[in-house]
Amino acid sequence: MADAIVTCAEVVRTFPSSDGTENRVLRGLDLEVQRGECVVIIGPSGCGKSTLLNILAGFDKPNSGTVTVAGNPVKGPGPDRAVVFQDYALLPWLTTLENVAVGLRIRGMRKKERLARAQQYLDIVGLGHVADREVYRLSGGMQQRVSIARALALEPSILLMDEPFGALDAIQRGIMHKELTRIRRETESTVLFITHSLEEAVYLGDRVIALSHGTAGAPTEVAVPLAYPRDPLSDEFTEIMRQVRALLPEEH
Amino acid sequence: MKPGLARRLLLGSVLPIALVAAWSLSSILELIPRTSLPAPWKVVEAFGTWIFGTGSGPYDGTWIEAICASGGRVLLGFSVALVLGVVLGVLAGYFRPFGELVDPFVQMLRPIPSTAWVPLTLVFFGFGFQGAVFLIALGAFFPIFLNTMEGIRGVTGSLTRVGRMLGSNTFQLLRHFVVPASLPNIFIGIRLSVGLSWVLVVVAEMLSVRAGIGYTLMDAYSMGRYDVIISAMITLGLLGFLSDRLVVIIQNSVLKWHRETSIQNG
Ligand SMILES: Nc1ncnc2c1ncn2[C@@H]1O[C@H](COP(=O)(O)OP(=O)(O)OP(=O)(O)O)[C@@H](O)[C@H]1O
Ligand SMILES: [Mg+2]
Repeated sequence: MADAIVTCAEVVRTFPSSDGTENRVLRGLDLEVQRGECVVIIGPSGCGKSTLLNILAGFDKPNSGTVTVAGNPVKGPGPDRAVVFQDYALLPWLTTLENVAVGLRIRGMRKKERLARAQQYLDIVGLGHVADREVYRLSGGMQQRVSIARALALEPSILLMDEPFGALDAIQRGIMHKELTRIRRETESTVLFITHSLEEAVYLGDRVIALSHGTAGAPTEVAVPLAYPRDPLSDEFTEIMRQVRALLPEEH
Repeated sequence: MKPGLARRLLLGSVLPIALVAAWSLSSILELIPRTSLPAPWKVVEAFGTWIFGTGSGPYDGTWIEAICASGGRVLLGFSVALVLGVVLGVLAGYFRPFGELVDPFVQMLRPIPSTAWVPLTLVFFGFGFQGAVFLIALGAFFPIFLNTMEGIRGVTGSLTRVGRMLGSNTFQLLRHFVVPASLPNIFIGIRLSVGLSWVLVVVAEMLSVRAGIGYTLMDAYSMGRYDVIISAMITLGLLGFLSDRLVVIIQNSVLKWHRETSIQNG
């Protein structure tokens, strides 16, 4: 294949459910994400979107199947797969800049070097001016941008984002959509993005993939061949929204 | 002066002043025999002699010496408790099997009052510095250990996930994520233990050690010097208060984030 960063083949994940039967969340999922691509995953609640992301992040293990990222089998969490958490998960005892630099510190990078790199990524997310601010004093949207900068500073193979803007209000979310699009163009990052919002999916994605309960094989998908900036009110956009909605079961 | 500070000072001093006034009055009217409760001015005089006296009286000028003796024991005993409590608390909180090994044993020892250890302490460490330090370290260990362990166990899963995602090994995970997040709990333990350390140093000195404020207290009792007893009590109150303030000042600067995030949350 072309240049797949992520390859999932026949991934199975079952959980024991309360009534003693097996909850077969993923039943042999196949998925590829190409370098530089933004793949958005949608699907009904409880269909296994977070489960898939946790497996890719290394927080969870599949019962069977193979998962490779940049050619390496996933064995556990690591900085080549940077996760952006819905609750930001920043460290309130560090300054904004130090929060971005903490992963580099763990990697053993010297102080001067890592702070310079952190500053560079803080600039990319548009927060260069608050580097020395207490991170907990920033707004929710700003905190999520710090968390994105922390992920970007790792220079990972892929960014994994599980409903990262779910805690933000509509205006902040709109700003973040523009920001993420710009950041992706500047850093040529590969992104796997989970959302409940079809509009968010079509706005951000190169491809929108729909999981269903117990996905087996390759999930259904819609390509989004729209140039940026995308206009959610345009006819092309609403047409693709319609196609994406058709991927989901009725009640969604 | 900040608004409200004057009011707080004023209100806060009402009861202490009332107490001293009542005490003075009862001394003047001899409501309580002067042999059991000396007059306030007698206490001030004795306190002054204890601190500054250069004469040949038994307590003259020995105040600093007594403080250093007690303070040294507190400092050493507390430090031992701090190191052991934090290290073992972190290990027991983070590593489940180690916790299961250590925790029941600690819970078994904890209900035994520290004062009940005095006889065994005397047998093993004798009448002296080591015995007092052991007693303080033992008593001060439990609050630090327990609060540290609980703090570590309460660290959210998303924080350890972030640590792992950023590439931490177990040591780095503890050093950069889990222990800093537990510091608010660790400081609760430290504060309790500092208070306890002063209690235990007095116990040790009253019973066995032949120096320090607690010793002075007991010695003054056997000499019938109630003015010195009250001076020693005031000294202990001051020392306890000042060491607690010191901990709070350190806590406020280290845990600025915690204070401010908790106020934000409600
Ligand atoms: N640790 C676990 N133990 C048992 N069951 C689990 C566990 N994690 C997830 N599940 C189950 O797996 C299924 C998929 O969960 P998952 O969190 O992946 O859903 P999701 O698609 O992310 O849903 P949502 O859109 O609500 O976030 C659910 O039925 C859930 O109950
Ligand atoms: Mg989810």
